[in-house]
Amino acid sequence: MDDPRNRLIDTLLEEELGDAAPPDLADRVLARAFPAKRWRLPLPWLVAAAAALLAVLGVAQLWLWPHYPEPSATGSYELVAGDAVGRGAILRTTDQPAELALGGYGQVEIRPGSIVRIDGQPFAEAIYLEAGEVICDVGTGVGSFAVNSPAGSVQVTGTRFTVQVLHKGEQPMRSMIVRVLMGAVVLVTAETTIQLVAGQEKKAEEKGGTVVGVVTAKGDNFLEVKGDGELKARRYVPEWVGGAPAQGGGFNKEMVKTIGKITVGSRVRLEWKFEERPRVVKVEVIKSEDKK
Amino acid sequence: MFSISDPSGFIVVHAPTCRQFNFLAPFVGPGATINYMTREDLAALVRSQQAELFRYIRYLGAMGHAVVEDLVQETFLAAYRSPNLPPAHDFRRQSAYLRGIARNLFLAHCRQLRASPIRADSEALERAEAVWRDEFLRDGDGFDYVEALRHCLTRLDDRQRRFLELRYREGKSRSEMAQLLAMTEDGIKSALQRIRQLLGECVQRRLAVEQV
Repeated sequence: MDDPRNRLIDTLLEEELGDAAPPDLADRVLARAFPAKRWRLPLPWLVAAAAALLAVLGVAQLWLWPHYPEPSATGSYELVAGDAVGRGAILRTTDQPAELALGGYGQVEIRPGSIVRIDGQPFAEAIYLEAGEVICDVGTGVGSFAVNSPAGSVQVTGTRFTVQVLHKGEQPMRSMIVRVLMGAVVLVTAETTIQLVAGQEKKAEEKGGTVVGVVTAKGDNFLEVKGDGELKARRYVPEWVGGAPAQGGGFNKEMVKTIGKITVGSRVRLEWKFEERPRVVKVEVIKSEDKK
Repeated sequence: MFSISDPSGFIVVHAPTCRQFNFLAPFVGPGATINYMTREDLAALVRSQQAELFRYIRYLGAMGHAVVEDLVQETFLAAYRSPNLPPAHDFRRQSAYLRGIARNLFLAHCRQLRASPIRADSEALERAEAVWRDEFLRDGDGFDYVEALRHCLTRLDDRQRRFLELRYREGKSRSEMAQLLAMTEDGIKSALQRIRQLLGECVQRRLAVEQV
């Protein structure tokens, strides 16, 4: 259709007879001529702005983020070790109980006559129960919690339970009783690992072992040794041989003789076993007090 | 009013009066555009000129509704950025200026589409412009021409009217028309050209009579 006149008629016929009506393009033209303003910062400015924003957020986080609570104690207690209540400090209660708060999720009631060392770290709180009894209330979903004792370890993630280290007279024994009041705990001893649930109670005791430590006291037929990492010395007696005393039974004379040669303050390695009480199987002086 | 904006979008200046501010160009960064119209001016320009421009670009030979719309938009955007657009009160000069932009854009469009069946060159477009200006507009807006065409359509016989109905109202292709009317495609093409020629001559006669 090279003839413009023919083309003109064709164009007009499309409008008159067809549907070639012109659309209203004003909005589209205006949108392209006046695009919505977009802030476009140069890249260095963008990087600087992002860094500044991160810095502000970092400071805000430090300022606003809830701090992890440090261990704290209330009630009646005395500090055996450490300047203040904190990790590594040892607390002793006498005739009144004390409360220990750990990480905001572990509440420990230290019963009268107990010795507790605060161990652990944030979100993995732990105490070492040297003697006495604790009642623990552990919240769920925050962190782990463990009560270690000479007889074993109780690990929990949300429950209420008690741990009691048994005594024989003044001497704490290498045994304990765990009672679970709510939830469940895992009891770990040298021999076994078992789970205890609410209502269950378990006595755990060590049947024997080796202690390396310092002789703190001695008698004709006993040694008291404070093992490395232990808070209190324990008494070990020689093995019993020969039946009842009336039948000629008595302490192993060789061991009594060996004990007699050991001086208080010496560093020893002591093998023991539990027969009614801890008994010395073998003792070896690593460093004598005399040689200091 | 006009505004200045640079590519970053930071510099935006609006100033009064029309188009005597070319001296500002050196003071904005490279790539900056100086816009000589406010939003309201541009809206008024589009609304007053878009119908004729749409018709004109189709007349030049642009095929497809989307292509025509694109060319119309590009024409207005080019005018918006141009310092030489005649003022709004001189409607005919403004219209002629827009048609000039449209021809250039259409030419560029045809050159980009080498596979396009449309063949356009500057001379052919100038001839088309002369017919549009001198025979269609005739110092007006083309309304007389359209009125004359409507009158001439009533003078067609039934067969001719049938051809136009099929082609323009029903949008039949030549091959479809050939099947319906038992003719060849070339026969349909020739018949349509003859009818358009008759209508063109009728329109010219009627306009000549009206002029007398």
